[in-house]
Amino acid sequence: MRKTITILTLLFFISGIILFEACNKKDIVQPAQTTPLSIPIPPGFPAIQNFFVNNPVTQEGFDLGKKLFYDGRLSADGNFPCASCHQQFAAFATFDHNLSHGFDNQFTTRNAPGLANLAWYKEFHWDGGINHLEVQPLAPITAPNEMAETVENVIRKLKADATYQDMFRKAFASNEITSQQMLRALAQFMGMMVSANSKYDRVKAGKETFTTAEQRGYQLFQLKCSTCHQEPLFTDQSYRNTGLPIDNVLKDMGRMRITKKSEDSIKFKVPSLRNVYLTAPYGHDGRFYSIGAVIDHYRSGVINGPTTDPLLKNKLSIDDFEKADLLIFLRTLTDTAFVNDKRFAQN
Amino acid sequence: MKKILIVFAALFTLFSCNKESSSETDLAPLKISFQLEAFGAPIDTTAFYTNNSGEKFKITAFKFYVSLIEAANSSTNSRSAENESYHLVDLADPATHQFTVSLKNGIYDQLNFIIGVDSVRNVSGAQTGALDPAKGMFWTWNTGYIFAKLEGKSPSSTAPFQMFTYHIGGFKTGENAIRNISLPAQFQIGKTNELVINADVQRWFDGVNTLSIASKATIMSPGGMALQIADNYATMFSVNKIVNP
Repeated sequence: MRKTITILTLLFFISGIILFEACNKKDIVQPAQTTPLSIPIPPGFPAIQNFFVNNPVTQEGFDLGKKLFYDGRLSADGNFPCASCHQQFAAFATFDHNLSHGFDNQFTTRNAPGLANLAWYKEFHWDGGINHLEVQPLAPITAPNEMAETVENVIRKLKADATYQDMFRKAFASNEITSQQMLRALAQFMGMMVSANSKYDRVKAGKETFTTAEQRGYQLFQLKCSTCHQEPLFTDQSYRNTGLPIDNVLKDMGRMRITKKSEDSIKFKVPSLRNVYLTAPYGHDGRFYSIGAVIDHYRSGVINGPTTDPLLKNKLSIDDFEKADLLIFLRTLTDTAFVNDKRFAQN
Repeated sequence: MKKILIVFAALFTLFSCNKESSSETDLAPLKISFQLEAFGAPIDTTAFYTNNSGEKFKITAFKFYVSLIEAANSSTNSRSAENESYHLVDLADPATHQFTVSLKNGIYDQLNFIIGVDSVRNVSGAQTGALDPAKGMFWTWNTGYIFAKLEGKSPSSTAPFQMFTYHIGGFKTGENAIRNISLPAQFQIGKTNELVINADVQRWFDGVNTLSIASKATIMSPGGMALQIADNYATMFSVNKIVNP
């Protein structure tokens, strides 16, 4: 009797599996031979955006995304991979450049932001014009002053490459290479870039303690900065005018370019401060070469206009001692493991 | 033993496939053809036309998305919508001027569709097929589809090379350029072979609003004038022919 039950149970599960497979044949999302990965959610972080609902992260998709990220063929002349402006040692910002270099000796018009924790972002770019991680790379790829290429050409180049043919097949179980697959692979790679192993994070987890200066800096930070640079992402993802005088060449209207509302004039997204010591220069056009200069702007440089943020209209009162403590605290946001993580480095 | 078998059988049925209620044999093909016209005749890209504002112009590009195609019967309220219904009609590519849709058998008196791309597909990341961003109908700096494009040259244009460029799109509140088109047409899915629909570019200039090339030669972002142009081209369609055997 017991034997019969065992056999029946086994039969039941096997037939169940067969049926399940048969029913799902039509819309296979994840091919069987891929290795699933998941985006790690650090303690205290909210849930990620729904970017990966139709794009389950796999090792194969991630590897493909990484190859694409470091491949100059995504640009018109082969010189400008994503990584040319997003360098790992600079926490995926452009090291020491206010504006980055693009195709044909041109400058970008804004400072390249560091890339980390993108799976938590509602919108991308300083003006929030991009509404989904998958479609973000289309902007730099097609911008004439960045990678200056067409999507059609990129796909043509990828299709002609045997390694890519193999990698796309492995990642998406299809013999066709499409822009959708390319963008999904890039989203997988970028989505996995989670930075949450700084001293700050280890202190929060109770594994380390702040020095007294760091602790004073943290308290000040919570008092003066964290409304906008909200933990744990260190941005509230809002758009604000921080009282920067407008540059007459760039004439960058910020968020207003997207919403066309005058109340959004010269507002820019609050940048994350994670790895802030590695991502200099600062500001949407990189006009500040040090964090000290940014703090000085909040202390004495804020220009009051119709859209200047109410929190900054009266400037921030931070004395020199407090400034030093703040700078010491901000150093604890550097995630050395992240910038040395081989998973995100070029092979 | 019997009990085990019953439980086994019950569970087995639970796990069996959920077949769709309407079987696929209810569906039949219908060919939809677009005749791209200017002032009542097929577009000639070498010809100069004159709009009601007295402006001469020629056409170099004309494209639009036809999406969410649906056959409807206004008296019985029955409807049948095409699955994954996105089509890009491109003047430069005659193969795109006609396509076949699969709809439920029945008698209908309306063909409905939208010009543009529904908001869901504007916010759901990278799309493929007709919605592939490689088709050049996508704003990369301000996420969203260009629903319709009309480009050409006119001596009245003050833009470089005397170009006029109208890229119309926008799905957000206040910028919504999606237009519902409903064309009266007596047809029967399962019998009618083809619906031929005219689309006349003149309506871009001389529609419910007047578009003067001299006063506006370039529209390349959502909102504002884009909404007026969308209202204009929403009136460019008419049923030319219903082909029955």
